Amino acid sequence: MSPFASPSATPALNFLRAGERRRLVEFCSDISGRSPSLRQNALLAPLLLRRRGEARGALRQQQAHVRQVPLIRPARCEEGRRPLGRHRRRDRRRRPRVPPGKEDFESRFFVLRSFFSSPSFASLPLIPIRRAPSRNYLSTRRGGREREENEAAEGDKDRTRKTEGQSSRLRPPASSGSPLPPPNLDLFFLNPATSSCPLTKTKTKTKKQVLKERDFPYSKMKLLASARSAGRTYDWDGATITVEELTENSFGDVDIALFSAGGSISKKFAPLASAAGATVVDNSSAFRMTEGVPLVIPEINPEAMKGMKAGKGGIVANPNCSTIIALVAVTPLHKAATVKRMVVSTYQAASGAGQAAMGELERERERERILRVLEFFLSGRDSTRRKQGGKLTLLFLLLSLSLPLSPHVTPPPPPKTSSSSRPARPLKGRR
Amino acid sequence: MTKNIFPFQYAFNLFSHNSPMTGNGYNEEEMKMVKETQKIWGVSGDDLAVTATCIRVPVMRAHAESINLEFASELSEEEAVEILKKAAGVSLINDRANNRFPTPLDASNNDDVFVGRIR
Repeated sequence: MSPFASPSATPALNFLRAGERRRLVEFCSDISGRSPSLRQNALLAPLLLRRRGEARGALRQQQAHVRQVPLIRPARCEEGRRPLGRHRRRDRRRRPRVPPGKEDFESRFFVLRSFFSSPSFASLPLIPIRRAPSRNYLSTRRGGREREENEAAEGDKDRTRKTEGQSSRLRPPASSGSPLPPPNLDLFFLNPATSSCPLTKTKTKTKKQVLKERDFPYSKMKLLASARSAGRTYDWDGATITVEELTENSFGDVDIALFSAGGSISKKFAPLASAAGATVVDNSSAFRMTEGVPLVIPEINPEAMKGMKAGKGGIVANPNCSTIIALVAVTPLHKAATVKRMVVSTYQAASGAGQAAMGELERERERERILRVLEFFLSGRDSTRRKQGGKLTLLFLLLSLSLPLSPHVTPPPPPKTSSSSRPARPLKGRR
Repeated sequence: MTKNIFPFQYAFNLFSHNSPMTGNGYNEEEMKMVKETQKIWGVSGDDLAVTATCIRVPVMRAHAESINLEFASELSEEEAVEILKKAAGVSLINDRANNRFPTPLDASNNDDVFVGRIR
């Protein structure tokens, strides 16, 4: 579906070398697996500013605040970290030997790094970067040399060296060879689709919040999940709840069990829970049409569950979301005038398919946005492309995009800065 | 890392509901509406004809529905509005003059069903 799904099918990419094309494809597929972060947008900003010819002045102003941060000049990037001044003369002589395209790219990298050191960037709330070593887009060589093998490991070292003088914050915590870091998930939103973690009692944050909002009377809450998720803890209502593994004996002390982990879990465990004395409220479709199981919308037919009592067993089914919406509105009219015929068209949101589906929508939206930006750079409307810089512009774009990609987490509140005149704070250790 | 939930691109697109298709050309989501409505109201298919078309739209939260009803006895628009005003769990947003009717954003994180465009 992505125009980059098959590199050969994308003529616009023909000017890229095979390795670059592969990295681009990897990059695009990686984007589709991650969500946007504030930082990513921040990184796009200097790029877009530059296109409008505004970046230089703005960045110079910003640099005035960060004099104490040793900036690596474009030509010096070749040399690693030589002290400024001492070799200045030699560097000047060297400069003509840098191919124009290369220098172009270096200077853009310089712009990017200047932005990293700027107070405006320092004041952005940051999200810790967790990257898999194998997904290393920064390994793209400055000189464009192909290094297909071992590039992940080497790229790490190379990047570390390049950024050492600038900011250790840019260094990803994952060193090459370390195992894949765990995805940074918002734990409250665990659900079976994303984490194969069926929480059977009060699955989601939303559910727990509703319990709180409605002031539902309960003395103790138990969270049950697969063995994989057992042991996780949630802070809830002043207490810490540890997730326990769902077993056949989980329901001895449970009065009401909310099942929301899909039909197969409900089919297996709801009868067990009911037999153990828990009244099961099943959100899945497993028992909706079962004879003897009341299908209840509290506003519409509470009488259907007459005679049931919490703690005395039994299963209550919860209708499909579209049915609930329709019947909450239509039943009062039906009672007044008896509906003969009902024609429904639905416009169903992502949330009905779970948290993972919502994430998918968000990622796709972000992917489309990034693809539009890439398309713009590939379209030839970018003037630098004519001066053999197009490829470099693209690589720069990838560089700026790939750095900050991180799983979607709620950004922490911005740190308090004492005053605006304060120079940029050291970049490491910020979260 | 990513598992695709939907068979098609979802952003900037829409498609028929992703539940499995049944033998009669309706998908399971549509059939659920038919059968569950009959069970909850306690009526048979002879007394109540229900048909549904379920579409997935790129909205983050809150489903929307357009419903056309045919009644056995007379029910005027004013009466219907009065009934819905009093109904439990229903909120009316029905401002024709300002073209203001329910949107999914109105309904997000809200327990009520928002109703509008009554005619």
